[in-house]
Amino acid sequence: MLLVVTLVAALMVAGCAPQQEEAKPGAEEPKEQPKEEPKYGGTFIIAQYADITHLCPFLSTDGASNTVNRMIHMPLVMYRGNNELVPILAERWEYSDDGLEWTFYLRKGVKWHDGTEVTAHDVKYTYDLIMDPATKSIRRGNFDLVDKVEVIDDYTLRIVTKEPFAALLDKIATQPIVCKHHVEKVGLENYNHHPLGCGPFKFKEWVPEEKVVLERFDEYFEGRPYLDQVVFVNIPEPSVRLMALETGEAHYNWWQTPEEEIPRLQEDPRFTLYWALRTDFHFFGLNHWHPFFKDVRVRQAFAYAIDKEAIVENFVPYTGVVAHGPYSEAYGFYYNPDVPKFTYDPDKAKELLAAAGWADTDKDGILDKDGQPFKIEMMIKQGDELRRNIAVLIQKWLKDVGVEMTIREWEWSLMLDALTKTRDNWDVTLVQFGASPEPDHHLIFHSTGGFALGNYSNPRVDELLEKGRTTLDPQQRKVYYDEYQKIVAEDVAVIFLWHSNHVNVCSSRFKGMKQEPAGQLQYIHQVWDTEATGK
Amino acid sequence: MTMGQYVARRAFLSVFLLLGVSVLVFSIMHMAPGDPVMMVAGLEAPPEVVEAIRKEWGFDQPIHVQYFRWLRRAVVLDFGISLTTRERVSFMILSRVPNTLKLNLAAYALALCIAIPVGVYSALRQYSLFDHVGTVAALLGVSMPGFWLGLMLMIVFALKLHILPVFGMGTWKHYVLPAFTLGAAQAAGLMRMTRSSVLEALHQDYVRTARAKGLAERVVIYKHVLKNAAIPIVTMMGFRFAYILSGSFIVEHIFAWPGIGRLAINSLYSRDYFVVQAVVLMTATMIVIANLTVDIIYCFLDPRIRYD
Repeated sequence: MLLVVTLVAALMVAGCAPQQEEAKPGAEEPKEQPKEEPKYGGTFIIAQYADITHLCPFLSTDGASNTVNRMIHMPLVMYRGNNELVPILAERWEYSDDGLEWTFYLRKGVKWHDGTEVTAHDVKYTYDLIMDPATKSIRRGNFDLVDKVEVIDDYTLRIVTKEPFAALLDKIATQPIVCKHHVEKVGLENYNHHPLGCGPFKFKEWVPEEKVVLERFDEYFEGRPYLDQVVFVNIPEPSVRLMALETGEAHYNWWQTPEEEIPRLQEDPRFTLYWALRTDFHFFGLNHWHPFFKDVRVRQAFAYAIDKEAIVENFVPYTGVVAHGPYSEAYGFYYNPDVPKFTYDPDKAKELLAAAGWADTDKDGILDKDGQPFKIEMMIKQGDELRRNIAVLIQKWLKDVGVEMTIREWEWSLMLDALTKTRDNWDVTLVQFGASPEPDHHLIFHSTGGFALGNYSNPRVDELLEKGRTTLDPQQRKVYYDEYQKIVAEDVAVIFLWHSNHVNVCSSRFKGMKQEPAGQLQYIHQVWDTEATGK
Repeated sequence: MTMGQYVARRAFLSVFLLLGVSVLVFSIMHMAPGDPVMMVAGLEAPPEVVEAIRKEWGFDQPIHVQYFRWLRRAVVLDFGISLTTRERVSFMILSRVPNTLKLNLAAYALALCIAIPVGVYSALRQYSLFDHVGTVAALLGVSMPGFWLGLMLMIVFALKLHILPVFGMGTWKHYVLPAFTLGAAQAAGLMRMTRSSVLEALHQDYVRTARAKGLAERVVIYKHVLKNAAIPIVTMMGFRFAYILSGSFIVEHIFAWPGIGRLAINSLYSRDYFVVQAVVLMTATMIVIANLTVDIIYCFLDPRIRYD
């Protein structure tokens, strides 16, 4: 199982939203129109890695549940295309000059699965429930800066924030709405087996550990879905998931397709591979509390000593893209390609270490300074084969420049503690930061950020991140974030290794998906079965 | 000591054994590194939510208070609420028990149907071609890891021949591959045990005597050899039966079988303490009961075994 530190960063892409956003129906149309006429009917079977845990969209925490939830429930806005925020339940929105009041105008005529209409009361009820401590929703933190939610009329909602909150749209994009009268009727404790939303598919059945069955909702506001049913089956083993695709027992796999299988799948006409460049980064983390890493020349020497191109080429040739900064191209507008790039240069690394005062005075092959040998320990997650192999390679590269690195595998929860709480008991590490498309990285690179990976602290970065999260003008935000990207790269806050290029494998029998960074399943209502015979 | 007294004494001791197991299970889970609340709440959960969850599930109490509260409920089969799904643990277990039972009973039956006849026939035809083939098959069965055998069977019967499904349950076809994968190792061990037990019995004086009396070979085999060879076989069958709810974790994982094994593995990953504790305690109980049952069956099979 791949090690993933999924720290859902967040502050948001209000940047993507001009001050007043009109609904753009055209933006929701498929870019590649299928040549054949779409057919109605058929069942689409999605292989998941685990069973769901919650069907309440603000109680679920795992990817398997969220994937199902997003077909049943819909949010006000959603990431589609190249990670642009598009109107969904909200037809348009605007914010006040002081940036404290957001007004959302809801689409009229959107139906819940029981036939009643979605109104602003449902939206307020959902957000109020999340903000209520008694609900114990882990999404509550997303609404920390929300002061109150007010219903203006059935189709107009106002959100008042405590300070300008650029990430608000990102927060609500990941938060589908629940139906007020339905939740009041069944209760949150029974919601798991009686979810009701306004998405393209409605809940039919959940057989624990086995499957979840959804059936099409004819009155879905973006049009009747082509498929009759979507079934989620649980197959924990990646190789078995692929076998199920090959035998036709499943049609779609979105999780951990084995890297070595990708060339074969690309050649196989039975499958279509959909790629989605992620807004994450995998990195070599240095603990800035460690005295060895306080000197930027040492950090830069490490960046030159590690051959990230070789890592990608050897370990993630299909699902990795070399990273030079915190943002991948999937950040679109906010991506700054003009950041300092450290390419493999061991001689340069040695020069920088020498300039920082490190020399092999006792001729034992290990650099030393003030009598202290340059020996460090790498912390990796227990059982993470990918990172174990990469660590061995890095060990060799560092040895070449006179640094001795040992590798220690940590139990995952202990490692999380080390990264987020007891921060002084590790030297270097290999992990991944998974973010939303919102450019704010306050959580990890601000000195007071909740996770402050590597205990990085730079006053200018702090200032830029603070300005970025409270500025609503996208052009101005971009200025801040462009500089932020340059500084964290040059200052080697971490050594960026690669961005994930996520692959989804789909049976070629099914059409209607798009190659987009935001992913594929949000277009499930447009997916159709070429072998369907229904009307 | 009468048999009734013997059973009562063993049952009484078993309660203490289970109590010991419960302390051990509870302690191991709580001594394991990491915070279950953080695992459940997620890293981005605000501190007050983390604390509320901690309080709700009683993790803020001293460990002995947590233990006795858990034990008091466990006695009446109330294992609490799952940390991840917020459903009753007893409901989660009970809804999966039938699936695991079906798979394991199928595998158990398959193992018995293969192992006993093949083991007996191998012993009666010692060093014949059949015996050699049986020995090699048994060695393979014992040596092949379940996950590897399962994947190989999938490749052949599902991927290449398209005659059996890869995963899940529903039709009889879904049972074939996981039951065979699970039953192969059981059959192999049982077959070797049967063969050696029958061989040992065949060389006993009473068998020679029975043959000398002129008894038909069939009678000698059924009445004298098999009955006496049965004790170790029954022991092994009993132990296998003890694992009927917990012996298929890997196979359930590979074949995506919706049983107790999947639940246990998922719960371990997510540190769902209450589910893991319940599954382990249930498994321990099954083993204790199976041991007790085997001991009682001994008494019927061999009167020489005394209750004390």
